[in-house]
Amino acid sequence: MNRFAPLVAPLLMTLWVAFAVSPCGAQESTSCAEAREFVVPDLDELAAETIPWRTTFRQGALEADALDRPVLLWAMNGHPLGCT
Amino acid sequence: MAWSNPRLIELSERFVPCADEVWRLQNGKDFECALFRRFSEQGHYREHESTRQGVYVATPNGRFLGSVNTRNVDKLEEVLRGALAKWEALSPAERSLPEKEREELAKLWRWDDEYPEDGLVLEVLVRDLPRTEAAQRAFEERQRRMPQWARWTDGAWNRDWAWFRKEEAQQWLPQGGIEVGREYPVPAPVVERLVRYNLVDCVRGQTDGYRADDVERAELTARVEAVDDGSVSLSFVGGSRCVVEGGDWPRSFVTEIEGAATWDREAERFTAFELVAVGERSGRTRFNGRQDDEGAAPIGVVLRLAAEDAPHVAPVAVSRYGWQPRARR
Repeated sequence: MNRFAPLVAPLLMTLWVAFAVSPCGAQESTSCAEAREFVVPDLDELAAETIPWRTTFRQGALEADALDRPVLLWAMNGHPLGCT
Repeated sequence: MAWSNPRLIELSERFVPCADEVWRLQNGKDFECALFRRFSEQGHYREHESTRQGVYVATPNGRFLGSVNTRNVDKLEEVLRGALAKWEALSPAERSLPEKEREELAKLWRWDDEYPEDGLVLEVLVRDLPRTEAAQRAFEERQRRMPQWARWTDGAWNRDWAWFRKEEAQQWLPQGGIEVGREYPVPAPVVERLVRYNLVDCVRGQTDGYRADDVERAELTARVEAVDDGSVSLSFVGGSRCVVEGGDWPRSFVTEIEGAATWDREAERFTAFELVAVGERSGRTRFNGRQDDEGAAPIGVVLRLAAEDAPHVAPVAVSRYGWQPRARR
């Protein structure tokens, strides 16, 4: 086993995190970065999307008909996967 | 959020789950809306005329199997299991859509059909930003006076989408030569559309976009940061100011904007795109839930490239884009 592996892995992880986050701008301001951190929902807040909701009732009804399954419809004022 | 419950996630696999906006389904004239009303008129709000929000289970041909409007996991599970039992008792012929109705449903056109596969799709996320200490104390005091069920507004966030067809996406690029360091204004129609419809206070609920006359500032200056054979890297800086004075719903939304994007020259599409708008809002509209919070307060909006598997939901304002439908059959 490469004796540097325990050191390289955390370094790569740090670099991956640094570059995986898209830059706000060429010289991003602190408030911009902080705002992004604050605004973007975390995984818990997006957990409802674990279910593969089709995005229209039409699509759901046609697919349910083809698969012989009941339709489960989540209907709200404003699209539940958009702006409610 | 009830739908993150593992029991409901597992149970949902026995259905075809779909999500949709209810007002159109409740009031629309086309066959999809009529099919919805076949079962929603037998559901939990059948005695009420105002809304049909909720969760419904139905056969594909519109036979009512169950419904409820709750976030309670146990209640939802009870309704779904009850609906499955009713489903099992029906023959396939009693469940399925007649051929003619299937064809009618399949040929319907919706704005969702205009999803710009080869354009630019942004996910628009909006949330209140931290307030000053004194303002936060006042906000928390108001929250304490509210009933428990109404306190969801603390931490609330919302999401919309912004679509650009290919020819609109290309307007974010410099026209003519692409040299590092070149600065240019992003064309006004592109920026104004974002400012009027996406830099709005929908944190707690849907709101109206701004009219063209309400826009006092809508500017983005782009700069070419890097160029190579494969890609062009851009940065953006600018701001917005929309003000409605007088009338029923005076309000304002003022931001400074920063961002960056990467254009893939061969694929002719953005592979990265993000704008962050930070600013201040005030006032309210009819349905945006700010009746207890009309004073000026900080707000943030992140517009980022939609993920490959993001839902193809049409932007709230898509019908105001001025697009001619291309997918209409």
